Amino acid sequence: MSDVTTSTGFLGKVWDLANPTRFLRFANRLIPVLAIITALLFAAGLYLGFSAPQDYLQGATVQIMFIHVPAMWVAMMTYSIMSISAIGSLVWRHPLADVAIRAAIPIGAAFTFLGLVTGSLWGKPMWGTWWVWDARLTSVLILFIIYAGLYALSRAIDEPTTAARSLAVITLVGFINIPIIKFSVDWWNTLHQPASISSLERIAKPALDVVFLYPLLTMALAYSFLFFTLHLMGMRNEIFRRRIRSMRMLSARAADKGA
Amino acid sequence: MFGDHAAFIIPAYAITAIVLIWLSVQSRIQYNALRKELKILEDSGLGRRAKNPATIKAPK
Amino acid sequence: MIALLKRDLKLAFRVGGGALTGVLFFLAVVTIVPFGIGPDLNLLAKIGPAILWIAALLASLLGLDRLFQQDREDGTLDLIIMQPHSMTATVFIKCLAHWLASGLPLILATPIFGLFMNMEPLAIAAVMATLLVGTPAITFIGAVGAAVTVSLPRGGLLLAVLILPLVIPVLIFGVTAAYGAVEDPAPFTAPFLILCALTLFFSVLGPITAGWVLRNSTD
Repeated sequence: MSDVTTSTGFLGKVWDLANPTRFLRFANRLIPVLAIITALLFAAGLYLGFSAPQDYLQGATVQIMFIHVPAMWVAMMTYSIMSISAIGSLVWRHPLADVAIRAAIPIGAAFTFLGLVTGSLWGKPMWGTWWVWDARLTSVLILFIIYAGLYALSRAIDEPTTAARSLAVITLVGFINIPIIKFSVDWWNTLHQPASISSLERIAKPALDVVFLYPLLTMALAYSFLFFTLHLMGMRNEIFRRRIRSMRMLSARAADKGA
Repeated sequence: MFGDHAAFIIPAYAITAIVLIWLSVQSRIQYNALRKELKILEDSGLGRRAKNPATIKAPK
Repeated sequence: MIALLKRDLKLAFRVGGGALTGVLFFLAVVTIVPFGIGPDLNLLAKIGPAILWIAALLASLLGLDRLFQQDREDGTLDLIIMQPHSMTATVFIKCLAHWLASGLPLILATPIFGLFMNMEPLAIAAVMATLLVGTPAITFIGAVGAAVTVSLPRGGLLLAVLILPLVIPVLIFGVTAAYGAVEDPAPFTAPFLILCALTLFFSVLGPITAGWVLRNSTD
């Protein structure tokens, strides 16, 4: 992705992929490679993570960080990718962008869910409570609700083009709203939560030592590659689903004519 | 290995593993099912660019 | 445009229109709260502004799914789309009519419900002011959801799920401002002005987006 700015050739290639058949060939070749890289990265990340020493403040629970923080990063990355796809879908009517949004929603929701659950499991031994209405946690919960709403919407509309437009619009409206929501939740939080949280915050993000940084970054890479693998698989499924749908309609029309 | 906090660390890893593996597996299962369905449709003469729509017969 | 406004208002206030139902729903929600938390008047006075805001929020979401659906069912929507006026302006007018018919009655009913909650006059006035400024934002942003779910048979619930996370800022600043008027150290002006800004922002974003969706929904 590094040569986006340097060559128009890259954009041209992306445009070529708009052809679903070409995309499928590309995906079929890429998915196994990505899957293997993902597996290797997970193996390395887990090894590094479990061989890391215990943190003097958090003890062994620092292990949870290695799966919690990457889940959150990928959850946010997914929403950004969806927003970019939404622009692609609305401005250029790029058919793959539609497919990309739809395929990303359940994956993003799953990573957000994992971030919330592992965060909760980390919070209990560290803060003594499963959940605090802290600004960051609340924002993530709202992000999860947005994902859930988008998922419900994507299930509710059958017709692919209508669904794509609706999903793209709501994704973008949500994206525009995210800074506002973040700002308002921060405001609400400083009003309702006195200093008690700031001491918790310090525990939550200590200056990371290298022994923790490497496993964390490896796991983050592993999560990202897992996302790309799953996303490509989801897009491939979605293309198949659309083909089957259009074939069924074609055959229904043919049967209608025959009758 | 995890000291006092095993009760939190193990569930965290377990649920992550379950969700991520489930995501991958069900995506794979869907892929196989969809491909099979597509194959049946294609075999019944419903090519994506079927030359003559009149010759298409409805699949069961 | 004026004709559209008049027509929508007439439809809303007709028997079976949404206007009265919204107020009744508002009443029902406010009445339920003491059963949930007990009839302690001091506690009720304390959480009163929040309850009124949440009830008003839910009540204004309630009728939103009908914003375009009715017009779609009887074919008016196609006529509206085909006419040469700007779609943004049309949606804006429809939102305005919807708010006049369902938002304004809620605000007018607020003092009565505020008395149920044992609130002081100042607090009631503050809640009314914030609702007056804040509820249009809910309608405008809800218009996007209504436009997206217009063709769905059971779009109402989905609309609520889609829109609720987006209106959280409105709720936060509305309630904060209402409390700011009553409790001394808390500020009133700052959250109130942010609430005004939110409403203005959504009054632009909502109609443009909803208008675009509607225009592109039938082709």
